[in-house]
Amino acid sequence: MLTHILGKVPFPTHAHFFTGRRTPVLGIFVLLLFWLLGSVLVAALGWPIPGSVVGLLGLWLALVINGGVPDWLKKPSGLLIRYLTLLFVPAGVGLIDHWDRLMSHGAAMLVIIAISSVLTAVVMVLIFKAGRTSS
Amino acid sequence: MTDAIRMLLALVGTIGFYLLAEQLYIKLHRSPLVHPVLVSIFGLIGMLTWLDWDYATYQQDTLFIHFLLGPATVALAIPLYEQMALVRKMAVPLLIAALVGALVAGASAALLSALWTGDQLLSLSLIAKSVTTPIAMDISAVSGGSPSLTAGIVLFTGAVGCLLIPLVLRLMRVHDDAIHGFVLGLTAHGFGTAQAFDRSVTCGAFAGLAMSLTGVISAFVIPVTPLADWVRYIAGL
Repeated sequence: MLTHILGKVPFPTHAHFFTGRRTPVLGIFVLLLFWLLGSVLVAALGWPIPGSVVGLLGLWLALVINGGVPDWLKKPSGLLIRYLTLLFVPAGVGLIDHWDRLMSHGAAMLVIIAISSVLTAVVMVLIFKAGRTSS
Repeated sequence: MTDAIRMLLALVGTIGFYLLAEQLYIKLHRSPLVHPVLVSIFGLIGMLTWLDWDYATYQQDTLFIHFLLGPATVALAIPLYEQMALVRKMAVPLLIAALVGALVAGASAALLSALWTGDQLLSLSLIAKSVTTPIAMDISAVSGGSPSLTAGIVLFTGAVGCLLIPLVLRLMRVHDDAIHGFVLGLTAHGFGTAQAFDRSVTCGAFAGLAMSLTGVISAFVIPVTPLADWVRYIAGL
C-alpha cells in the first residue's frame, strides 16, 4: 500500500523522493495529515497552541529536509492560499453576533487599531535602524 | 425549504458574493477599503438580516468552507519555506524583529482596549489583530477571545494598516523595500502583503515572510505569556 502511494522511488536515500507523477489529492492528503499530527501533538502535550500552526511548522520542516516543494503539493496549496480570504468569510459573518459591541465600541476599536499599528511600525523601523548602525 | 437546499443556498451565496466582490475590487483599483472579504462579509450580514436567517444556521451550512482553513493554514508552510530560502543569512535578525513586532502589535492593542473600553471579550480578541486570519482565530479561541470578532478585527487592521503604514514609513524616511515590506506584512498581514507586491517583488516577498513569521511566532508565544491574564485584570478594574 505504501509503495503504491509513493511509487517506485528510492526511499529514503534520495533527497527528492517526493517528486514524480503524483496527483494533487496526495497534496490534500498531506495537508490534512500534518493538521492531524499537529492537533494530536498539541492535545497530547496539553499545549495552548493551535494544532494547525504546529502542522504548518511540521510541513515546513519536512520541506527543509526534502529540499524542495513537490508539484503535487504546490498545486492544491496554491489554490487554498489564493482563496484564503474566501475561507474566512463564514467566520467573518459571525460579526453579526457582535453587532451591539461594534456599535458601542466600534469607533474606539478603530482608533486603538490605528494607534497600535503606527506604534508597531515605529518600533520595527527603530529596531532595523539600530541593527543597521550596530552592524 | 429543505435543509439540503438551504445549505446549498448558503454555500452558493457565500462563494457568489465573494466572486462578485472580487470583480468590484478589481474595478475600483484594488483599494483596501473595498477588499472583497470586507464587502462580502458585510453583504452577507445584510442578506442574513434581510432573510431573517440566524448565524448559527448559516455557520453550520458553510462549515465546508470554514473547514478548509485548516489545510490552508498548514499550506502556509510553502510560502514560508520559499521565502526563508531567500533570506537565510538574515534569518536571526528577522526572527527577533518579528518576535518584538508581534508582541508590540498584540499587547499594545489589547492593553489599550482593556483600559479604554473595559470590554474583556473585545480586548482579548484584539490580541491577535496583526496575525493572518486563520491563525488569529485559533489564537483568539485559545486566549479566551471570540474567533468571529477577531476575524473582523484582523480585517479592519489590514485595511487601516494599508492606509497608515506607508505614511509612517515615508515620515521615518524608510527607502529600503525589504524593510518596507517586512513592516507592512507584520502589521497588516495579507492586506499588507498584497499592497507590498504592488510596490516590488522584494517588498512583497519580505511582507509575505513577515506575515508567516508573525503568525507562527504569535501562536507559540502569545498563549504562554500572561498577556491574556493582564487584559482580564485591567478590563475588570
